[in-house]
Amino acid sequence: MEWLARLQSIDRRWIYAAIWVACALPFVVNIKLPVYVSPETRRLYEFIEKCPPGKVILVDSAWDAGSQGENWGQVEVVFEHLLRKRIPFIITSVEITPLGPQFADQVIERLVREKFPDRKYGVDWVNLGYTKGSWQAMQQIAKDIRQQYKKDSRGYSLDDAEHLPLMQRVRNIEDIYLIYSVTYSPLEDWIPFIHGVYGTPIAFGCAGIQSTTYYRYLLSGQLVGMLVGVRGAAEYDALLHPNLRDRNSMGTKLIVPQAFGHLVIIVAVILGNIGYFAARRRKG
Amino acid sequence: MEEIAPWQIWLAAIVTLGIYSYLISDNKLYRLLLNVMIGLGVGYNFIIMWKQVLQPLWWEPMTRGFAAVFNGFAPGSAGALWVLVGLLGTLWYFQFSRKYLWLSRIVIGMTLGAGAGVVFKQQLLMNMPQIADSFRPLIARADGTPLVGGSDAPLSLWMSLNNIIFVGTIVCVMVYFFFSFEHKWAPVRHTARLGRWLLMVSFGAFFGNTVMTRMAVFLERLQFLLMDWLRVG
Repeated sequence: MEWLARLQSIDRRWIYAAIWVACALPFVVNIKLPVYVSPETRRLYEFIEKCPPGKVILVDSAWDAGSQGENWGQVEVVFEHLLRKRIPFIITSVEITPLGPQFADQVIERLVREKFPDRKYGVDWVNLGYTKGSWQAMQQIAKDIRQQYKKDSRGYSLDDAEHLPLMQRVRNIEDIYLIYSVTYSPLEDWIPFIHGVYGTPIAFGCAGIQSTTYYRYLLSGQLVGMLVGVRGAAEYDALLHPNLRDRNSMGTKLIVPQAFGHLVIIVAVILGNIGYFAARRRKG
Repeated sequence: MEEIAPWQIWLAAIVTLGIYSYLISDNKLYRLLLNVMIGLGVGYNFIIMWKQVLQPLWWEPMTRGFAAVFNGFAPGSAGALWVLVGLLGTLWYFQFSRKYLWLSRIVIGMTLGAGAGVVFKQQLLMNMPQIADSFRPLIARADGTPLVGGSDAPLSLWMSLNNIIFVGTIVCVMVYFFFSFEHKWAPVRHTARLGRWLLMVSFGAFFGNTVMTRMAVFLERLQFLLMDWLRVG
């Protein structure tokens, strides 16, 4: 019983080492596992599938290095979907981080280089860069996008029809089919100030830790879909590529190591509990 | 996008390992890298804030307005009024002066007033659909409509059970948060206790999701170290 009681005081560094080894294994040995697609992911996919011609999607890509483990995969799969279906989209980063548009550029440029070399900036997508102001910026975008953005992130005027033909048919919220906000913790202000006032559908891509608070918006219909953490990205990739071998997004790459890491944590929790009960029994 | 040069990958790997060295113990390299990261972030934010927000939305309209004013009040002179917004913003900095602190209260008052008005609208539009959604039929059809006065969809035991759990959870948790009287009466006591257990379940979901997020942050770095730096796998 003595050694069992010691299980609850394992040096944390051993647990870190075990997680490193378990998570590294699937990277070294190529392991792929099937993915079950949750309803919130499927709803977003199906909603984007139904995008009518002439409409654009606004992607609020407000994430940076701190949350790229989850958010990179979430924008990557949606960008791939939009580029594949040739649904034009506008990227911005509202309020949270000025680095967001730069990270979105990295994701999209890799996609264009590897999979969609015929897609063009200004025609298929536009990056408007960072803007400040939460609900104020949202209301301004809804009423007249040119009041909030004078130029795109490359310095072209929004009225420059030669470089930004896409922006010539985007004036206000009526031209936007969906707002997809991807960040660690998306701004809830999108829901009252855009969905509540104009009825424009909203979807979130968020960190797993934040998702618990957003599920209520899915139930009430205030969100049309949501990608939750790495899981959401891997599920969306599964919808894009039914064949397991075709999947190579960030979400798919990280989902198996994540499963291995979770296994180590579950084992550590069980061992800790065994140690706790053994210690309690020893004390009488 | 330009390809990442090998020295950049090496630098990123060294910085990543330097930050992770904190897992062994606190050390000077970790603190140095932390300060560099904060400095880089603040500097970058400052530039972007000027170039993408203040310059196009405030500075340029204002300078164009002044140019029009000096041009004999030509059209567009009203843009010069943007200077007032700048002056109002400057009032925040009187927080640093004991003598003129009162000036900062003008702009604080305006911010609080606007905030209070906006929060009212925000809460109403965000929470009213939530409250409406809480009223669910306990005997429901497959599309969620009630048995009486609903659609033509068939009766669904699964949907009914779902709604019973949903409504039951709301009631139990709300009873738990009745603090204005003691939970002496057995039905109230048991309902409140069940509410507490249900809250524990939700905290468990929070904790599980927290682990998932922290793990994802680590995995992205591990992937970089193994695949981009060491080129394993």
